[in-house]
Amino acid sequence: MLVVTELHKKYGSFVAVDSVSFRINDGEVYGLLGPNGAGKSSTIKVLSCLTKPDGGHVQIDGLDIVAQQAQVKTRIGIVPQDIALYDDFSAKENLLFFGRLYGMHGADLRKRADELLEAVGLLERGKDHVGSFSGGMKRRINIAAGLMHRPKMVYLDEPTVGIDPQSRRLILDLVKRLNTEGLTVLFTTHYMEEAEELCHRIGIIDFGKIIAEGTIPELRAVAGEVSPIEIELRDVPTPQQLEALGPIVESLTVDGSRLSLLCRDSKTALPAILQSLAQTGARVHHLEMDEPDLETVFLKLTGRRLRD
Amino acid sequence: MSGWSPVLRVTQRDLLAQLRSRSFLVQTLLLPMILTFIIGNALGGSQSPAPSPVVMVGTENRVTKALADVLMTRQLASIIYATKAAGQQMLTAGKAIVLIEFPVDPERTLLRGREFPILVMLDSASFFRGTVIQSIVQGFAQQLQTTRATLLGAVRALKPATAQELAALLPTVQQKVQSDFEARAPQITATQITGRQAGFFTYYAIAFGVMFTLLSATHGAGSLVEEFERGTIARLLSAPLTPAGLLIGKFLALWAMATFQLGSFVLLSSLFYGVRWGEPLGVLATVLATAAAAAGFGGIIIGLATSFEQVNVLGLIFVLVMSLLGGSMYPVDALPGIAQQLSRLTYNRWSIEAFQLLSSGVGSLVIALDVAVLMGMAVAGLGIGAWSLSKRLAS
Repeated sequence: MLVVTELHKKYGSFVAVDSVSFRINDGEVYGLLGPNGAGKSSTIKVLSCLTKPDGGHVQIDGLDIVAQQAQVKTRIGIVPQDIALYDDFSAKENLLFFGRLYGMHGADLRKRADELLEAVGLLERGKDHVGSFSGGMKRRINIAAGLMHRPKMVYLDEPTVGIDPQSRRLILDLVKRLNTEGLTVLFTTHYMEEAEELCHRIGIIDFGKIIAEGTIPELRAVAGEVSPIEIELRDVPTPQQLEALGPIVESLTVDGSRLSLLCRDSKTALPAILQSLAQTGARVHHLEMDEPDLETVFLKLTGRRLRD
Repeated sequence: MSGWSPVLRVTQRDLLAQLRSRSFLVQTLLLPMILTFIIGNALGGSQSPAPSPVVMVGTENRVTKALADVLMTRQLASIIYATKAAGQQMLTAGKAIVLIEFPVDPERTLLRGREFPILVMLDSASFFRGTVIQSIVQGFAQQLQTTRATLLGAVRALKPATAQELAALLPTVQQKVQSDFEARAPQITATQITGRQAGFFTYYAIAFGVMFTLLSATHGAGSLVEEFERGTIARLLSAPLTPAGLLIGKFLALWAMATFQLGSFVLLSSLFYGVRWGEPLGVLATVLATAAAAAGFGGIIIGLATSFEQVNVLGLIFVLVMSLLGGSMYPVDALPGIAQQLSRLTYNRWSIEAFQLLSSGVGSLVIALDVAVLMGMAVAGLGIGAWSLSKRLAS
């Protein structure tokens, strides 16, 4: 469905996307994961035909994104991270307007708007102005607007940021349902649990480059045997004192009183870690050990947390 | 551009949003109507002004009556006879706008060939009307001088020997000269006036209509900034719509709104104030061209402005500079030479000129140049706007 080859985009001297290549198959949900400023939005901007690439090629459904832009645009739907709706229009008027932009009209247009209003649980509120909606309701209409023209592929850019759990659940279920109906999805998110729940494959992007790509098990394998340990301390040791942990752990990040550690064999390493901390006078308040997740992968690959 | 359908959808949406705006009717229709009423009346009165009070010093005689007849026949003045002191008081109290003083016995003074001073005092608050009356008095004085010279020349040619002979000759000669003047009076053929100077009320109705059309168009240019701030710009441009198509869609909305505004103003001002706009087809062409040019300037702002502050500042600069130079605040003819030349760059100048020509009764073809210049401004504005927007979106 989507083939990105050596994509390059820069703004002035700043390289936002650096030789990025990935492909998304028909009917797949692909997650693009990375911290803020990693190049996710710049990549989506190019894929949405909002800006031209400075190098590389992108094909959507076999069509070149630059040379056959008009045809490409009818095949993609975008759901921007910020709510992109007209507050002075009702929910239904918004959907009708965006549908008409793609040449939809008549009974088909109205039927599609009603279908989507029902799908996002807002059929009863269709005539109300979007300006009167809560954040979660706006997010749902935001998604519906991107789907009006029945695109083959949709880009969902952080679609669940800052909303209530009910709306989040509804959106995640909607994406799953649309995917089972054949919609291909490119999904960017900060939330690892969402990526793990929805995505068939994931690309991790950092400083404009894809640094890892694969299914969830494949990415966990990248992390190898390392396991994450989270320790919350009282009487936090100095950075010099923490250096004593160096030989025991793979990586260590400190966020206030909270230590995030990666170690190869956590069961063996844990007593040594606790002993070393006790020697510095630190007291353990809370300790948590988990299976390696995407955060672990990112930490392992970059030495930084995704939300840093 | 991928077809006109998405372009027209953008136009439709912008029009709907404008029509739903509560301030729309106030800004586009009510405000220009109110201002035209206030300024038009303050500067020039209504379309058929009442005759202005004019004081003649002294009492009525053949000379003052002759001048009074001229002024009253043209409905310019109503004549009051009073002493000089009383007349001056009336001037300062605003009860009269001009005072005219002839010599005490003007006929006798004329025939004796003595000095013939005429004093004209004007109320500066009614300067324009006073100047018109003054020019009529000057013409009247020249006519008196010609009559006196002719009469005295004829009398001298007859060489009366005594005062009695002179007294006997004068009435006969006077009668003959007068009948000769009347028999050989210059033939004046009156035709339809096609001058540009419509009444002040009409002038300011035109000037304000044109200025408010530009004001609304520049204000409406903020709609693209709104698209950026809402984030809908990404949705619009990822649809089958290019930046140029988006700009054209917004331009068409501005054009339609400006046409609606100016067209309604023409209709309302003609119904309520009796403003004579002129030949309907020409007025329609000028309304469309004026609205297009205003939308063109709106297009420039759409392309350049990246925030509402910039929209407001650029809009204010366009409206103030062009209205000052282009005749919306003060007639172009009254501006210094260089300003008159610069006024050709303004949209107001061409639009006001076209409307004034139509208002003075000329046919539609005369305004072809004005309409062409206005349409040229519209195309240029759209081009500059499209170029700026494409450049901005590419960066």
